[in-house]
Formats: sequence, C-alpha cells, structure tokens
Amino acid sequence: MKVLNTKNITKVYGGKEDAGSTRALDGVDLSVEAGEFVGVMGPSGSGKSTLLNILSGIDIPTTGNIEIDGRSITTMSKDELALFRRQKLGFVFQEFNLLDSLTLKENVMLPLILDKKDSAYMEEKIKEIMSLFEIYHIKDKYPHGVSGGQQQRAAVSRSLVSDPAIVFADEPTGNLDSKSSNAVMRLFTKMNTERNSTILMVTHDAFAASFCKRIIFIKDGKVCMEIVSKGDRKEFFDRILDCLAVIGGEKNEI
Amino acid sequence: MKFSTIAIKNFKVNLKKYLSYFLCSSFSIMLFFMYATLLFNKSLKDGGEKEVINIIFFMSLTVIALFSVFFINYAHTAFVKSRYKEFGIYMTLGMTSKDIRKIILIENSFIIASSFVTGLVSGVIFSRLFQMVVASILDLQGIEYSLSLFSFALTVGVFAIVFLLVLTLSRLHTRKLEIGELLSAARKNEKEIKAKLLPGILGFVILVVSLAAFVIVSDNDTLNTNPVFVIINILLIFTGVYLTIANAGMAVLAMIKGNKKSYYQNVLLVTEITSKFNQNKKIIFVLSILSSMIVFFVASPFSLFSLAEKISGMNQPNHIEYASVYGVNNLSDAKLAEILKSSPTPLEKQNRIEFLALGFHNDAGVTDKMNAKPVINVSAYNQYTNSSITVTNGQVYNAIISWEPGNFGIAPGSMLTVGGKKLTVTESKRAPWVSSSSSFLCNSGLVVSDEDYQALRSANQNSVGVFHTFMFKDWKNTQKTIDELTAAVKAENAKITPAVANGDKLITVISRILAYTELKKAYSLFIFVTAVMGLLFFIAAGSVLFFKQYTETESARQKYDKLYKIGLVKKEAKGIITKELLVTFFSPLIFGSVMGYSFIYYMTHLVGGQDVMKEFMIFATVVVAAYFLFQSVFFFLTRKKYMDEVLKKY
Repeated sequence: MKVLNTKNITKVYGGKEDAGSTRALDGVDLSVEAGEFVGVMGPSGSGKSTLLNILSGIDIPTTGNIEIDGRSITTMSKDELALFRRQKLGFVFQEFNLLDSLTLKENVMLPLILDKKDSAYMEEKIKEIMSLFEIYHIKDKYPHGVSGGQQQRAAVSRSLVSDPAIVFADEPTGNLDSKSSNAVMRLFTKMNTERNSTILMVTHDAFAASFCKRIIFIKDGKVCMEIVSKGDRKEFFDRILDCLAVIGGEKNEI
Repeated sequence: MKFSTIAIKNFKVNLKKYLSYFLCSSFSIMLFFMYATLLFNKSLKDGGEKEVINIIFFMSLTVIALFSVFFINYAHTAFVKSRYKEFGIYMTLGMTSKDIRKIILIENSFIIASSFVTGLVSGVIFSRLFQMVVASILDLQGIEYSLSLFSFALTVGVFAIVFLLVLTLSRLHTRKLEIGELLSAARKNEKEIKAKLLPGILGFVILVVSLAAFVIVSDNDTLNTNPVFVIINILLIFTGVYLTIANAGMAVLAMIKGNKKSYYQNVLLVTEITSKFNQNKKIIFVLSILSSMIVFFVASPFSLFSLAEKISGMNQPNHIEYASVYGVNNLSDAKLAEILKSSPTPLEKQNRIEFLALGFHNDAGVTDKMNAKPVINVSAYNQYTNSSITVTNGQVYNAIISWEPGNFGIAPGSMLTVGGKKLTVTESKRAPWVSSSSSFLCNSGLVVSDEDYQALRSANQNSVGVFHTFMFKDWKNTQKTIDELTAAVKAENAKITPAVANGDKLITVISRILAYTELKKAYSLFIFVTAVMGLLFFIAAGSVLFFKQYTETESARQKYDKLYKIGLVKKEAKGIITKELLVTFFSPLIFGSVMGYSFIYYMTHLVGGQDVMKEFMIFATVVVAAYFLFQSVFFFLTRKKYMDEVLKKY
C-alpha cells in the first residue's frame, strides 16, 4: 500500500519563471510504501528541506500533486492541513520543537490534546510510547531540564503518539553528538521495525542515512538516484558515500 | 575598524529594537516635562490656592518620576535581553564582559541623548497645545503659557538620575555575563511553575480584608483623617493585589490540575495564562495601580464638577438672599420691588423671615465671625424649612449649617446664654436652615420657643433683623438682579454711620449662582490637573502593554510556528491568543477598578460623606465603563496586529 505518492512537484520561489525566481523543486515524483524507512539525501541547496516542507503540508507546491494515505493534500485549506497533520502525520525536527512551557509528558501528548482525546486514553498512550523510548521516568520535567538526546526522544515520542500514517523527520540528528545520533537512529529503526511506522527522513548525514532501508538522492530539485539497503549497514554506508561522491555531496563527513 | 564602529554598526542594524526603548524614554521625558511646565507656570500658580496646586503638581511629578524609573528600566532590560545572543557571540569571539558593558553604555548614551532631544522638543510642543486646549475647554481665564528654564533643568536633572539608576541596575545585572547563559538565554526564559493554591488564596484574603478595613476606616470620622492609618491601609491593599497577581498563576494551575480532563484539554491555554501571570506579575501589578489612579483621577474631579450645582444648591438653599440687621442692608421695599420687577427671570417666592442676631456666651463664639447667632422662633422655623420640630420654653435647638462635622462647642444638654437668657440645648446637629451660612456669617442657627422668642425680642430690640430670601424660576439667570441688589444695598449702606459700617463687608447679598460659579472655577483647576494626569496614565498604561506585546512577538511567533507544524488550527491559535491577551489587558483593569472605587469611597467621606456618595459612585462607574470601552478598542487593535505578526504561517 502506498502511503505517500507524489507527482511532478515543482516549487518556484520569487515569482513564476522570471529572472529572479529560484526553482527549488523541479518535477519530483516519489512514492513510499507502508512500513518503509526512506531517507532523502542531497547536497546543501538541493531542495531537501523544501521537499519535506511540501510533503508535510507546511509549504505549498507551485505545481504537482501529493497524496498521503489516499488523500490529496494539495487541495486542502490551511486549516484542513493542520487537522490532517495532527491526525495523520508525525514530525521530528532538527531543533526538536518542544514547547518550553510544557513538561515532556504534555509535549508528547500535545497532538492528542489538540485532537481532544479522552484523558485516560492519552495517559495510557503516552505511558506506552514514553516507556518504549525510556523517558517515562522524566515525564514531568521541562525540556530545558533534560539533555538534547532526551529532548529528541520526547520529540520522537510526540511524532508517534497519534499513530500517524507517516513520520517526517528533518535532520533529526543534526543537533546531536555521534552517541546521541546513534541512539536516536536506533529509535527510528525501533519505530520502523517494532511499530511498523512509515518514516521519511531528510538528512545530509551519511551515518544517519545508513539506518534507512532506501535512500533517494536529489540534486538541483530533481531525483537523481535511488539505492536500497541489502541489510548490511556497513555496506550500505559505503554505497551512500559513493553516491554522494558522484552527485557532489559532502563525502568526508562522518 | 574601531570599537566605536561596531557600536555604530549595531545601532543601525538593531534600529527596531532601539526604537521601542527610545520611544519609551522620550515619552517619559515628554510627560514629565509637560507637568514641569505646569509646575513652573506663573499664571497658574498665582491663580488660586497656591499650596494645594503645588502639592498636587509635586505629587504628580514624583509619581511620573517613579513611573519612569520602572518604565525605562523595563524597556532597557527588555532591550538588553533581546540582544543576549548577540553578546554571547561577541564574547565567544573574544570580547570581555567589560567590552560588552562598554557597548551597552555607548548605545545607551545615543538613545538617552536622542530621547532627551525628542522628549523635550515634543514636550514643548505638546504642553503648549495641551494647555491651550484644556484652558479653552474648561474656560480657564488668565492662564498663560510660559516656558521656564527651571522646567528644563528639572526634567534634565530628574531624568539624569533616572537613567543613572537604570544603568546602574543594568550594570549589576550584566556584571557576570556567562557566554553559555547568553547564548541559551532565549531558551531559558520559561520558568517552572508549581501548582500551589494557598499563596494565591492568602493574597486574595489580604486584598479582601484590607478593602473591607478601608471601608471601615473611611466610614470612621476619626480614623479617616489619620494619615498613618490610611497609608498603611492603602499599602496593605497594594500588597494584597500584588500577592494575588503574583500567585494567580500557581493558583489557576492548582485549581485546574485537579481535573485531569479539563487540564489536558486546556493545557496550552492554562500554561500560557499561568506563565503570563508569572512573567508579567510586575507589569500587571503596576498596570493595576495605574488603572486605579486613572479611575480615581478622572472620576473624582469630574464628579465634583458635576456636583457643583448640587453642592451649591445644598450650600445656598435660596437663589438670592440677604440679611438686614443692625441697620445694615436696609433697603426700602419700593427699591426692592423695583429691582425684582426688572429681573429677567420671574420671581417665584419671596420670604421675609424675622430673626434676632444675639450674642451668646460659650466657647463656640470663636468660630462665629459675628460673635452672634441668628435666632428664630420655632413656628417660623417649621414653616420655612418644612420641618416639624418642637422646642418648649427654656430650650434651644441648634441647627448646624456648616459642612464640617462636629457640634462647634454647643453640645446637647449644655446651657447656653443667649441674649441674656439661659437656655438648655436640646439638640445640636446638621439641619436645614432658613438661609445659608453666608448671608449672616455663622455656622449654626438657634431655634427657640415662640414665647421665649417674644421675650428675647422685647429685651433686644436692636438685634431684630430680617432674612430676605428669593426664589426665581431660573436661578442661573439671576446675575443681573444680584448686581442691582448689591449696588442698591451698597448705596444704602454708604449712608449709615461708620460705627456699623464694617458690618456691610460681612453681611452681603448671597446667591446660588455666585457660589456655583466659584465652585466650578475651583473644580476646573482640579480637573485640569488630575484628569490630565489620568489621561497620561492611560497613555502610559497603554504604552506599557503595547511595548510588552511588541517585545514578546518574536518568541510567540516561534512558539506558534512549532504548534503550526504539529497541527494547531488557526481558530484554536486565535482562541488561545485572545484569552491570553484578555488576561494581560483586563486583569489590571479589574484590580485597578476595585482599588479606584475604594479610593473614591474614601474621598467622598473626606469631602462630604453620604450626600455626594451616589454621584461619585455613578461617575466612577461611568469612568470605569469608558475605560473598559477604550481598553477593548485597544485590545482588539493590538490583538489584530499581534495575530498578524505571530500567526504569519497560518
């Protein structure tokens, strides 16, 4: 079953086709099956972040169509998109995006709260998820009182709490040291294997990308290459580096 | 590139951040200067009661100076805080905290210097404009605009101290700057709030008890004139308000946390409101006090002004009156009739009430200028004052006319020797009288039995006098008649022997219109000073709110951007922002109105008690209502602007 399917997405910044305009995305077609763990890689300025923003309904494409979980999000209004995001999509951001005024528990719960779920259900749900990611014991702490890794785990928990159709991750290891990066990527693998979550992650970190099952490389706003893991992470990591070398990514970055 | 070059570059880039700080400072200076020009305005000072006006201006200036310390300090801190990250970067690049302080100082010197220029220039323009407008509206004659060097000197001097104070405070703050703290300053701004109900309840109880105590103090004639009691009580009210505000956040949290369901459903709103109370307790408190001042300053002079008619009516029961006694004011009936006939407004009632101006032996004599009191018989008294008192032989009834409470040495039960006759005082209290206290200067009049009166009359033939009282259809149109009467009486008095000639200075023609005009004139000046003060406070309160909202915009936008990504719908975001703004905009108003009402309650007890209470309360309510209305307009405008900024993504 296809969870995400896009056709010919383009995004032009700064007016249509005039001299000052920038073509950030130039006809991207991609599809993600349920249970997949897909990575999107590419050099800086290749359009990774634009793609993610458009896929998640935060930004609007200039042309093209996006279908998530069988629904076309390009025709939705902003409010419909917001509702769709909190019910069907999960997010993990580089800067965690936790609210400082809420405890970790409340942060994790937020999508459910916005959806006015029953409080007993919420308690149960967050207990399950926060325990899975080993942050249940610090649930009443505030974000500024815990480590970056713990914050990211809370953000990961939040992305899963509403049982989304797909989780979007934007450079989830970007702010973390290699140990925490490793831990977070294991979480993603855990999400993917144990909960069978569908994940689409944008990263420029080859190490983080090596945890994915499939990687799409984009350059100059176009999909230029695609590789699939054969199961061995070390071997996949090397292939990623090779691909990056070919398309001109940052090879020496480990 | 020199050090100063960096500072100048910063100045250009951060112009927007500087602007609000600069505006706050300029505004405070302008405000202070406008009052300082009033303080040193010669014609205003010479106009009326010099001391009272001086005290009011002095108080106003003190309040503005104190307010400025708070206001500028707030603006300054917000300004410096907004730049912590930038300072952090400088320090990582090798600047010492001494260098940072130097930057702060250089930048501040620029801002301060330019605020002085702007504040003084706009102060000159606005004070002129403002005095002209107010003088013409209130019909204040003889107020000329003057600029005194003293007002410049005072403003510059006071604000030099204010800025020095603010900079010193800021220096203490930035003494130990840590790079790490600076860089993460933005992240750390939210403090953990514990859910506690008790401190909030305690604050509220203190507030309620002190308000109740204030009512009791106001009602009590001996306590309400005791400054120590009053000041302690007011401070207690302030403490109660502050504790209530400071702990409101924790209390709200504690109350709602009990109910898990509603807590979770409103978690964004609740945490928002609690943190609003927590972060802004000082602002909300200061705004509450400003609001109470606005209510008090605007409502009380306007109530007095509108009461002028009523008060003059109470002071002058008759439209025109004069007493003819001791041969003074002995106008012939023909002349009187002639004058009355030519009155522009028809005469409705004319009374001639005979009285005896009798000396008396009692320590009360010191308070009566004539050393005599008017005495009338009980039948006449009941007839002309619509009363029904009984006074038997040997008794005397003391009707107090003057406004001040007290029995003026004539206590019930004591003996009073009047015109050589010993009489027992039955009662001594505020009561209606046939004339005002001014036509025959006295603070009370005596009523004796008809028999005693006859006896006194035959024993004191020389003391027989007559109150001439006149009621017209339209008392406001009696000026011509008064002028003619006064002239006629004067001409008559010129003929009498010098022995009693001084009496005509004390026994004059009295009218309600004159009393009314006098009152209005006195109150106009009062309004001029206080209402403007209230208005300025309103502007100040508004600027504080606006400035607060302005400085919070950026962090709010970041927050709502995060929520947008998670899936907050615009309507929900709007709802939260609206309620959050409602708290900051209206909680000070509510606290302020309660305090304003209590101050006015106290005030009415000082000026006249129950008689004027209703008008004062009605006016206070009008002012509060108008204030809520203005604040609502301001609220909607700010909300619109704030939402446009914060919810850009939505």
